[in-house]
Formats: sequence, C-alpha cells, structure tokens
Amino acid sequence: MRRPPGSRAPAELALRIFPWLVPLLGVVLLGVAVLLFSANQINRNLERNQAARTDNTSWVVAQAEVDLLKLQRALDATAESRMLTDTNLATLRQRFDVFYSRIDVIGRNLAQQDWFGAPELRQQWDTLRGHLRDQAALIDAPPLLLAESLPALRADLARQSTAVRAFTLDALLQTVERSDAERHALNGLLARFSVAALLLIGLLVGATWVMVVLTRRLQARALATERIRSNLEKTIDASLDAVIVADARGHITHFNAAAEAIFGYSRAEAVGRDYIDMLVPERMRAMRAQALAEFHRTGTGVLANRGRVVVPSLRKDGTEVPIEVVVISDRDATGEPVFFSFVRDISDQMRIETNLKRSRDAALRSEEAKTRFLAVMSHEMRTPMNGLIAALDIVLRTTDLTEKQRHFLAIARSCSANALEQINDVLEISRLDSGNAPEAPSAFDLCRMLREAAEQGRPLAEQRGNTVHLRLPDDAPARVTGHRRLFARVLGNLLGNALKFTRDGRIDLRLALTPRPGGGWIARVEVEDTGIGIAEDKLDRIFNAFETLDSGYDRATEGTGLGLGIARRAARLMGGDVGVESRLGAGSLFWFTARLDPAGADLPDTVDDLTDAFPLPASLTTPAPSGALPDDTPGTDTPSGPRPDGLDVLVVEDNPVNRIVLREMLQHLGHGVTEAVNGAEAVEMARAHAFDLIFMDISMPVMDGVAATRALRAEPGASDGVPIVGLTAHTLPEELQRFAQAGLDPVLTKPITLNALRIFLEGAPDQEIPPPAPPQIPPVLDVAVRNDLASALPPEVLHQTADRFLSEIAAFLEDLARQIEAGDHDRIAATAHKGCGSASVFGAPRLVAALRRIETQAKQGNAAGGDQAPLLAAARAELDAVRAALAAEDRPAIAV
Amino acid sequence: MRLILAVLLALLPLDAQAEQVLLRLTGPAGGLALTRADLDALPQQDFDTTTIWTEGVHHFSGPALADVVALVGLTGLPLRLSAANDYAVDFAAADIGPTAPIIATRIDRAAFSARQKGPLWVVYPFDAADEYRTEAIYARAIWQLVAIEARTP
Repeated sequence: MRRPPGSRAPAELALRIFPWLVPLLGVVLLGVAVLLFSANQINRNLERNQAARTDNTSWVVAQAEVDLLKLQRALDATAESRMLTDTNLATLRQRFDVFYSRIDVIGRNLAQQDWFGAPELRQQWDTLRGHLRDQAALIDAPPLLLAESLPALRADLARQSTAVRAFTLDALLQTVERSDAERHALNGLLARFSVAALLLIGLLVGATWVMVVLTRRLQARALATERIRSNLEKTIDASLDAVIVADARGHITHFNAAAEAIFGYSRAEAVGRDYIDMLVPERMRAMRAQALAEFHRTGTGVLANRGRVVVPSLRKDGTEVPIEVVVISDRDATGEPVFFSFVRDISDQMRIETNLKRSRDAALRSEEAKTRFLAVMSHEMRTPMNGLIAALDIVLRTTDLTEKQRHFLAIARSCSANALEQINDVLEISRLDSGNAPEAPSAFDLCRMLREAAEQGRPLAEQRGNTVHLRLPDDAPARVTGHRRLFARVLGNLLGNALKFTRDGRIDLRLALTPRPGGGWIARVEVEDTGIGIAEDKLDRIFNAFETLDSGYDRATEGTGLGLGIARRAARLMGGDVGVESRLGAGSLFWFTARLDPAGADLPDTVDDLTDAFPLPASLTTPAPSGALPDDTPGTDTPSGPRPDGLDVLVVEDNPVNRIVLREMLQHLGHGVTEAVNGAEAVEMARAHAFDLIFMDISMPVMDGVAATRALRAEPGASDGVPIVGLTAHTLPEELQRFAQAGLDPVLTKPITLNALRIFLEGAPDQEIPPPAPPQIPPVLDVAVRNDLASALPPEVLHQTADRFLSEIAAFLEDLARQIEAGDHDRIAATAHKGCGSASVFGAPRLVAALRRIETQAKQGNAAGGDQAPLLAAARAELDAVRAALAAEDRPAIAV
Repeated sequence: MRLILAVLLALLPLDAQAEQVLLRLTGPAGGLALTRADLDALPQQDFDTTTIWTEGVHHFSGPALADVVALVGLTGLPLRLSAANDYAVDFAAADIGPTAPIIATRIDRAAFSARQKGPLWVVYPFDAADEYRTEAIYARAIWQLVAIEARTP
C-alpha cells in the first residue's frame, strides 16, 4: 500500500526519532492521575468535615448536664417556694422539656454515629430515656398531682445526675477518640498526597529535563540537516550540469544556475512551476504527464531511473534544445516521491557529432571516389594493354621477323604482360578491399594444390639453382572446403617471392593443419627460403599495399609491390593472416593461415586449372628472350586469309585498337570479318546481311551492346537466330544476367587472347545453327548456348560445370523454400535473381522463366501476396527436366 | 375532684395556647409578642427536608424569618435569636434570605412541642443546597426559639 500524500505528521517523525517518548508520557499521565485522585479524596474528606452530617457532638452532649442542672435548679426553686405557682410550673415544665429534647437530640446524634461502636453508650442512653419518659408522665400530670410528686422527682433527678455525668463523660471520651481517628486518617491521606505530589513533581522535573535535552537534540539535528541542505544546495548550484528537482506533482523545487543557463528561466521563475508545462515541448506534454501518472501508479516511469536519456527540451524563448538527462527518483522525509534531474545541454556535442559524421562521410566518399578512380583507371588501362599484347601476339605469330625484331618484340610483349599484371593486381586489391570473398567456398584437394604449386615452381627454381622441398602432414584430409582461389593466390605469391629472391639455395614449403574446435582446421603454410632476407625495420611494412620499399625486396624485382598486400587481404578474407620472420641476408620465413572446413558431400569438387591462380613471376611464363612463344610457334601458323569453312563474323566494337586486334585474330583464324563501330550500325548491318556470328562489345556510344542485341533479337532481319557473343570486362553476375536477358549468348571476358578465341571458335563453324524454338515454349536447354559452351570448354570441364550448375541451382531452390517459408521477399527476389543468372548463362531458358516468375512475384512483395509454393514446385520440375536433358546430352557428346 | 381538676388543667392549655406568646420581638420600633395566630397570619413557606436532628424526610412550614423580623423593623440589622434552653445565635443581615430560613411552626402539618424542639424552630431547606449543610447553618438552626432582638454591637 502506498501512503496518501501528507500522511506523516511531524509528531510521528519525532516518535520515530525518540521512541521512548511514549512511555515517558504515560508515566507523567499516570502521576497526574494519582495526584488528581488523591486531591479528590482529600477534597471529599474536607467536604465531609465541612458539610457536617452531625451537630457538634461534644457541645450537644455537654449541654445535657447543663440542661439537667437547670432543671434541678427549677425544681429546687419550686421546692423553696413551697408553692407551685404558674410561673414555677411553666419554668419547671420548660426546663424539663428542654432537658427531654436535649436527651432526644443526643440520642439522635449518637445514633447517627453508630454510638461510636460502643453498645454500653446506647444502653446508658436507653436507661436515661426510660427514666425521662417516666418523669414526663409526672411532669405532664395536673399541677396538684405534680406538686405531690415533686420531692420524688427531685430525688430521682439527683440520682440521675450521676448517670448523666457518666454518660456524658463516656460520650465525650468516645468523641475525642473518634475525631482523633479522623484526624489520623486525614493526616495519612495528606501524607500520601504529599508523597504522590512529590513524586509527580519529580517526574515533571525529569520530563522537563528530558524535553530540554530532546529539544536541544532536535535543534542540533535541525541544524545539521540545515547544514546538509545548505551544502547540498551549494553543491547543486555549483554543479556544471543543470540540476532540477521536482516534487511528486512535477513542481520544480530546485533549479540551479546551470539550469538557468540552459533553459533561460531564472530560479525565481522556475521554482513552483510544473516542469512539464515549462520544459517539455508541447507535442510531448501529454505523453510525459501520462508517464508521471504511470510512475505514481506503478513506481516506474519512462525517464525515471532509466539512465541517460536524450530528449528534446523547451527553452524560455521557445526554442528547443537537445538535452541528455538522468532522472533519479527518491522519497523525501515524508515519503513523497521526488525527482532529481541532471541535465546536460548536448547541442554542441550533437553539432560536433554531426560535423564529424559529415567529415567522415566526406572522407569515405572521397576514399571511395579514389578507389573507384583507381579501379576505373586500371580498367581503362587494361583495354589498351590487351590491345597491345594481342597486337604483339599477332605480329610475333604472323610476321616474318628478323631475330633482333623478334627479340625486341618479345621484350615488348613481356613488359606489356607485366604491366597488365600490375593493373590486375590493383583491381584485385580493390576487389578484396570491398570485403567480399570473390568466390564461394568450394571443396578442393589441399595437398594436391601444394604439390602442383611446388611442381610449377620447380622450373624457375632450377633456373636459379634452387631446390624446392615440400612437406605435407601425413594425416592431411583428402579434401577440404575453403576459398580455393584465394588460398592458391596467397600460396603462389609467397612461393613466387621465395623463388625470386633466392639463388643457389633451398626453399621449403610446409603445411600444418590444426583442428578447430567445432570442426574444420586452421591451415598454416610456411615458405622458408635461404634468400636475401628483409631488413627488420621493413618487416612490418612489406604487407602494406602500395608500399614501396626503397631497396631490396620490391626494387630488386619486377614485382608490383602489391603481391604481399593482396596476400594479406586474401589471408584475412579466409579468416587467417600472413606473417614473416626474416633476417637480412639469411633468408625469410613467410607463413599464412586460413580457416578450412571439412568438405561437405554436397559441395561440388573443383578441379580446374589453377595456372593463372599462381601469380608466379613473369619470367616463368614469359619466353626467354630467345625462346619460343608460349603457345604455337609462329612458323606453324597459317597465314591470314579466309578459310573455305570460315565464318562470316560481324565485330561490333567502338575502340579501334580492340576492333583491329579482334579483326586480325579472326582473320588469322581464317574467318571473314565485317566491322561496326556502334550498336546502331551493327543492328542495321545484321538485319541487312545474314552473319554467322556477331561479337558485340557492351559499352559503346550511340547504342550499347545490350540495347543492340535486344533490338536485333526483337527484329532480327537477315541475321535471324545468329549467336551474339558479348565482349566485356564487366563480369559481375548481375550484369551477366542482364546480358543474357537481352539475348546475348555467351559472353567473353576481355582480354581476349588468340588462344581463348581459338578455343571459343573451334568446332563452332561446323555446328548447324538450330532454328529458333517457338517463342511460347522455350526448350529445356538452349542448344545455341550449349553449343557455345561446348565449343568453349573442354568436355570434362563442361561436364563438371554441368554438375556444379545442377547442385548450385538445387541449393538455390532449397534456399528459396526456406525464404518463402520465412516470407522474406527481398531475399527470395535476390536468390531467384541469382538463379536466373546462372540458368541463363548455362542455357536453361525454361528454368530461367520459372525462376523469374518467382523473382517478379517476390518483388511485387506483400501486395500481391500470392502463393509462391506452386512456382517453386514448377522451378523444381524445370530443374529435373534440365538434369534429364543433360544426361541425354552426355551420350552424343556435342563438343569436339 | 382531682380528676376533674386534671381534666380542666388538661383542657386549659389548649385554650391558653392559642393566646400564649410564642415569640418576643424587640426592634427599634419597639417590642412585639407574637402568638401562633400571629405567626400563622404571615405568609407561609414550606418545604420537605431531612435534618441532622431528625430521622427521615419531614414537611416543615411556617413564616419566613425575614417576614417576621420585618414586623418590628429588624430587617437589615444584626440579630440575636434566643432559645428556651438558653442557647443563642447571631444572625447577620446577609444570613437572612427572603424565603429561608423559616420559623417552622409545624412539622408534617402539625404543631410540635418543646420536647420535639418546638414550638418554633428556625429551619433551612437543608436538602436543597450544599450551602445549607454547613456548621454555621446548623448553628443557626435554633430550636425552642423564644426571642429575637437586635444585637447590640
């Protein structure tokens, strides 16, 4: 139960502090009661004395003898006169009556006092009274008779006087005793009263003393409290933070100088006002009032005891100021809630934060811009470099050259290849910097990779008089899952460096696998050489990208200086790192680590050529100055000129160098070439003339390759169903997808070497181009795409690609099922989109269509809200159809 | 003969009593002897009360002392009241109220003799108030009253 406000009286507070006040008060009250009781008793006693219930007994009793004597004298007088006169008679009777009445009065008086508890007194009186009654008969008799009995009466009275005397004395004695007892009783009472009074006085004195002590203590306490309060107020006033104290109703009781500074109100203006009305912006007042009510009901509020809270607040001038506030609730001495608010004006802080954020954003943007610029520049340089290399290739192969010419041209080609490699490194760096692993993890044979790397390094090692020693752990797993290309890249880089910087020495390549808790391993690869080594002060810098060392490592070779930077990024992307231990002149030990997982059964194995993945030094792949070209010897090359089975090819390319290079290559391979410089021109020419094949650059002025392809597919003219091969350096999956949608069949990624072109075209001319399928029902497999793939890839690779494709799509469909269940439309769309891309590249148009329907519906999102399960089922059916078609395709192998 | 005398004597006082002087007043205006008839002629006061000298509640009646003393101009003077038994008591003027005390001539509506503290008894309505139950008041309740006179200072 909560106390209603103001229920605690100050008396209650005093009692809390001095609990023994109650018994003390009780004792005092008891004393007063005793005193009052005694006083009352005394009063009643005195009253009893004052309001006498009886006449003065002594007087009354003593008077009996007097009256008897007077009666006797009257008798004597009568006797002396010897005559009973009327006067004598009257006097005698009167005296008798007085005496009679006196005895009566005495009897009545003593009877009222119970005869003092003395029965003999009563007997005496009774006897007296008996005599009197007898005598009264005589007295009342007629005078003559009375006169006769007078002498007897005299004698009788004389006798009686003795009895009266005795009675009187007895009664007086008893009276004295009685008053003595009464006085005694009164004395006792007075004594008791005095004692009680003394006691009470003592008590009162004690109580007074206690009160004095109490008062002093309370004063001291009040003083201490006042001092504390004053100190607290000074503290609050001096606080750099604004301090506002409010009572239970939200009325401000304290408002310090810092609060004045923040809010613009003076303390006098603020104290007593409702903080909600004064400081809370109007739109939030109802909410805050409700919160206060809520606090009173439940004891917890929105702000109170919730730590730091940032809220907008209102200043006197009506402007809002952001404040950081800590509200603490407590109860004051009377048990009422109080709120302490510690307020900080954070508008400066927020301004600084905003500025900082802006600066950081700007810096990031500029950094991004630089990176983008670098990537674009590299990319732009790649195209002319490709042209240069291709041109050199052609000259070297197709032209009769003198030995000297051949030598210099070979140098030129080698340099060009180096330059291209550097450009590729820069691109690789920016790709790795984007933080995305460039490839999905796949299963591979780790030991085989190391063996191959060592094998490939051996020729160069022999050239330089080195030996390569490979040591693999005995218990290494057959296959692992990881970023295969990244791993190969780092391995190639470190091994290549060792080969380059060692002469007549030894290179050790070692692998160690440490199991990770929860499965998988940490692989550590060490490459130790006995080469030139690295100075210690350079060790920490060699992994920085774009870091060029003045001497030694980088200068000494034709390397880019980016290799180790790439290695570090790649290792880190794999969840590992690279490092080096080295001494100048004594050799180096480079190592890298990577996380590897066990190879799951569902992950496809990847066995493809990794030659390009090992960035071994150029000298390894470049012909020696006097040596032959890597592929065919020029002598065996057929001269240019159209072959009888040559294709009629349209090359669409705006860049003259690239166009010429491609033309030369195609002509060299014996095909007829027509050139177009943009998409619009190409569309026009293709509609007019039936080409066998079109190479279509993507980025072109006037009309780009995608638009041209779309136009041509929509209205093919003479070149109906012609395969259109895209040429691009863009290799992002989304873009490939866009190209596929436009109707570009395969896409070749630049640079296009003669070799690649030959592989691509081989067999193609003989293939009969199938008639386009009816548009309503696309085929399960697009024959044209399949054929292109088949001509481009060796059969076993094609086969593996198909397997990989099937499991990839199956995985996509599983993901989709989960995402559909979760109703995550964005993810559904993204997954379906990815699936579309793969399927179109692979040439499965019906699967593409099925996935696209899922994507479209997911993009329409909640509004459509249609059931995606049937669509998913359809996609699964399509996948099965593809699988069946591929199995059928396997037997009559299309590829040559 | 003696019997006749006795009867006569017994009858005589009845007659004589009516004439008998019960109270003598002596005031500045002179003396006055009052008989029962005189007293009965004055305005009568009466009340029921107990007294410390009698048992039980009794009805007392008679003229107010104030009215009696007024007859001889004793009003406002210090008085001395005397009894047949030679008892005497002083009254200050303030001691005499307009209706109390009375000079009781009857108890329970009957005259009473000297043996019953008669025939005149100054009585206060003792039961009516505490102030009538004090020694001073009891002392003034003089019985067998026979004379009232101005007290010489």
